[in-house]
Amino acid sequence: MLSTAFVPVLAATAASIVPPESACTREGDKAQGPKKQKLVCAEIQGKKIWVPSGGDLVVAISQDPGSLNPAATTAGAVHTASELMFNGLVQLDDKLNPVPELAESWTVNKRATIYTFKLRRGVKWHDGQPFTSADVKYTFEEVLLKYHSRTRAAMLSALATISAPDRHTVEFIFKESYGPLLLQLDVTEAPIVPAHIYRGSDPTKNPANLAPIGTGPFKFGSYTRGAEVVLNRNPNYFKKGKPYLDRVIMRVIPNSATQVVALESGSVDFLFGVPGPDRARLLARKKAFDTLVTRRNPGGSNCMMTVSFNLRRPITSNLAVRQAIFHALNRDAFLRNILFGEGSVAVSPFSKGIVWAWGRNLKLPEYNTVMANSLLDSAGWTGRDGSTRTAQNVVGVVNGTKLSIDFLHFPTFSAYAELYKAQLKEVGIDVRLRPLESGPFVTAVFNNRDFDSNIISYCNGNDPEIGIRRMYDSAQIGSVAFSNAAAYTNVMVDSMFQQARNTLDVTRRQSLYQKIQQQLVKDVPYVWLVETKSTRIFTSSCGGFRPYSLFAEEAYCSN
Amino acid sequence: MAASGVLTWLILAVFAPWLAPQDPFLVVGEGLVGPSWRHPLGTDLIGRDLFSGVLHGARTSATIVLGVAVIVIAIAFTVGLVSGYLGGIVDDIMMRIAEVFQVVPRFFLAIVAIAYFGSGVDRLIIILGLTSWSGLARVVRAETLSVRESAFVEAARLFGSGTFRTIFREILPNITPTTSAYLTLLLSRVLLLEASLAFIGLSDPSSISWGYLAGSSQAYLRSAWWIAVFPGLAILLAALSLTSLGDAIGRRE
Amino acid sequence: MTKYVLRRLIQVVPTVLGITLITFVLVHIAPGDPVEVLASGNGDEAYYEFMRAKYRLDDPFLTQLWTYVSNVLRGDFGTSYLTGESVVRTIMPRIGSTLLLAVSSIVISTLIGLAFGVLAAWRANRLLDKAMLRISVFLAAAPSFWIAQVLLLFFALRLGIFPTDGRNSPGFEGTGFAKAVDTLWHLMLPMSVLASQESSTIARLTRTGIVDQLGDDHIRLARAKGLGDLQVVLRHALRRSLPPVVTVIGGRVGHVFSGAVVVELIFGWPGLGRLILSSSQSRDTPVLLGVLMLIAAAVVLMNLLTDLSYMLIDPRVRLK
Repeated sequence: MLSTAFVPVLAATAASIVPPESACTREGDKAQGPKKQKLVCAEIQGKKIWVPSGGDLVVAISQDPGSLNPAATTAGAVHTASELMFNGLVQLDDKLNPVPELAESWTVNKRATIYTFKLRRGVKWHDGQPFTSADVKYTFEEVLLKYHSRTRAAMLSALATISAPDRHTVEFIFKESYGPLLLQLDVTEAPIVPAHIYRGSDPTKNPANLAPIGTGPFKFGSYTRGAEVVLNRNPNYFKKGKPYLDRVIMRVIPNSATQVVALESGSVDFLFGVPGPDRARLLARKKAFDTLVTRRNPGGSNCMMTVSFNLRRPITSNLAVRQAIFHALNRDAFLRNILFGEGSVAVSPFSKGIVWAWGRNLKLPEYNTVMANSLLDSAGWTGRDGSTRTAQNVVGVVNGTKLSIDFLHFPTFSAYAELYKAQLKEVGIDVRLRPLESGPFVTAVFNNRDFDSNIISYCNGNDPEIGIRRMYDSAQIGSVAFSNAAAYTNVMVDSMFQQARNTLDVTRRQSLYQKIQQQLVKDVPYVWLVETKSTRIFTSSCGGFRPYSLFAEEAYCSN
Repeated sequence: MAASGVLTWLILAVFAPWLAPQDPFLVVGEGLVGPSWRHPLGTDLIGRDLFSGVLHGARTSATIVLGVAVIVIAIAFTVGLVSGYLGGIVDDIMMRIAEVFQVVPRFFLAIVAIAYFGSGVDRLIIILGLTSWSGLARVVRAETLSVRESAFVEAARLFGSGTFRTIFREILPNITPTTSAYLTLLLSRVLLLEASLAFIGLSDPSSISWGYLAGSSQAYLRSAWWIAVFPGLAILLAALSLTSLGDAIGRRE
Repeated sequence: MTKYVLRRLIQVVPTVLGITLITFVLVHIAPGDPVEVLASGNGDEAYYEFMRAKYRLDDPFLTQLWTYVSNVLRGDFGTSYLTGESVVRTIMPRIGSTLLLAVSSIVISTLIGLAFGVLAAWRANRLLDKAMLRISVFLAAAPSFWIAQVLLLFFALRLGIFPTDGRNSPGFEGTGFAKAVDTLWHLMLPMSVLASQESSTIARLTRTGIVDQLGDDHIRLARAKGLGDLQVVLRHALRRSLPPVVTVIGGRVGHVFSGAVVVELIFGWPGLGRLILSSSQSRDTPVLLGVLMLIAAAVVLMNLLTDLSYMLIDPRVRLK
């Protein structure tokens, strides 16, 4: 009788050369691939296949991150470069179900006011220190709730306290029932940072931000300013066997055309996004590249390009004007020309990616320039063909004022700005474009409210509590970046959001959100333009990428 | 030959709104369509006619270049003439000031100024004007110095001509050829500078200039070559005619 | 001689201070509140007050200026508003890259420019001369991002002989000689873009300078001695034509730094150009001021160097 120890050895020598990505039977088995590659049997997205172990993955990123602490910001550049070094309490699978990560199990009390998490044992920080509940408590209280705009906006007012009764237990205690917590605890929304490193310092200025310590699949290797971030495999990662790559190298290439050239020449393996016109060309090269389309990004998920109106300014406070603008915008053109079809025209104020909560059968104002023109005419804005309209008996506006509004946007969204301007010109509205980088943009829009309209990529997140409520909550006006830009105030909507947050009953939440969206469509505080998706593109010799956070946890490359 | 190039440019600039078949800001066709009868130079990303865009661009670019020219001439000639003619401490101080403006690369100052003050065409003209005058001032000063010692200036002074008169009547006409040559070179560089600023995304989006068209569409060079190439060609031709003009003036001297 | 050098070195100070002053003024009269950057968008009134006090932003303008200057003289350039890291530590890694790019471009363009200028002058008014004229005029009038893109597409993609981006290969861990070679290989394309534009100007200037002298006495004398054309050009005319070229090089330094911004962006070269861009766009004033002062000092020093070499080349010029 052969002892079981012999069997794997025999199996390995018998099946000596195995093609990568072919099926295997037992996780952890080793084999050899062509060109002397070491293969390991891994379960990737439900299938057991032979995967090359080792190798480097070179990823192109567009901006120098500046900091590698993803808990203190929602900036895409920082998250892209650093998320692989951290973990959240849970992870969300592709059906958005929470799956254990740093927390191995959890319970919720009946009223959904107390969430108790049992933390995984034996998890170590990259410097060898043990991971405990103190880290979770510290991260939330001192970092996330102060600096992470989405988590702060969603949880700060609802949370009563976080307690850590022992080293492996954390309790979140809320003032009232709080439904959505489990969807806000992944590495994008709530990455956990080490208390023993950050305690007592300003988390946004701590030198550890440039040489981070995390628990994630990859450890910090080096950060050459402006050039690249090198991450090395964490051999002590708590998910045994992973990751498969030796290194992930994030290369800063600011120019998107150069990124494409780098991919084509083979010096880069993975791009987070491809300019529309190049996509078709690259995919036409047979078998050279693969793609992955997703709504989830390191900066946030289910992102919708949203135009905000400043409801406190005379021109844009007029409902007819807002409706007219909505009618004047050919949102399909935005999808076609700017996104090259990657995404969808918004059909409701909430992203369709939140499958149970988006508003059904809502009639968003359709593209109709005749309607737009007549709305403006009856609002008192008169004009001849082609020229900018002027006010005649418009409430709150001096006669003769031109219908001219400004439009603030990040420079990367300038194509949207130009199309917006072009389409509004057709109905006699003059648009002054104001491109501003992130810092000055936030100041102008959220602190000084110095704008008529603007465009923001609002990432809705995986639950309306995460990224949507902050846009409409009257308590969120002016306090946090990327909150209620329009200064929309509706007491009924506020209370409906509150009720939806206080219950775990999905049916009840769903009907509340439906009512909210019906009201929003009537009030038009924003124009919900298009929902965006990203196409990741990578060379065919690599695979195993996840469409969401920790995208390279299971990735492999045969090079 | 060079002069006719510049002249064509100016004519196009003045008459652009009437010559252009469409409003360059309006969406008139499908995005990224190549040159065709309807759109001789194709359409850009969102479907605006490029031909109209280039024509209007002639206007905006001409405005920028002329605006900068005015500022540069005003400051550089004043500083250079006074400095060269009077000499002494005035000369030292003025040249020190000029050096300060010359030392920091124009591009950097432009980036900083636009980032802090916004990117309108008017601001651009002021910024570019204020950062470009020092080179010309030096040339003006050098020429003034050499002309100052010449016979007819001596003669004018002997005849009781005051400082002002001397400068205007005698010195100025004689330094014009070389300085004009330098000026045209300077202006052609301003054109290229504006294109580079647009490439970085720092140009004025409310007015279409060649730099804006050429610079902001660089990413499409491989798939929709016309949006990147035609405006760039316009810049090239305009810059070429300016430099040739400068060469021609210089050679005539 | 030493006194002259010292005097010029001392003159660097007022120039650099002048630039600092101008930038300081610009930044302060600009609309926008620096606290926004410091607070990273966390709009708590209390936090703003705290930050304002910590960075002394409410002090009168002159006090702030004085504080800044006196700190700088002690070597303290402040900390970045964005990352909190010392400005010096932020700038240091990038200086080397930009200097490498700038200096190599200037040196190579000078050598190439001189070579072509001499060739063109030697074969004045014939095919080579005319061709060179056309090419150099074209290079000077073309936008630099065009040239960069063309080089990138042809040499990096099509021919594959140069890398597409960065200063070193991804994840490169070599040191010493291997690293130098890798860096040099990555330097080729970005440097070529800058050098091509500069060399065309230098070539034309050299050619004009030499050709202008061909009617002069000392040339006729050399020819009478029986020296061949090329020898005449090289031995006698070249030396005399160098001064204007050298002067021009001094002026080109500022140009090269400017051009470096676009090149750094396209080739992902990690230098100061991109730092200027990112720090101005995010209103990170301390970093911005630091970089500008550094560039100013660099340009002034290069001016000094070229003036000194001017004196070495042309013995007729002496110290004032």
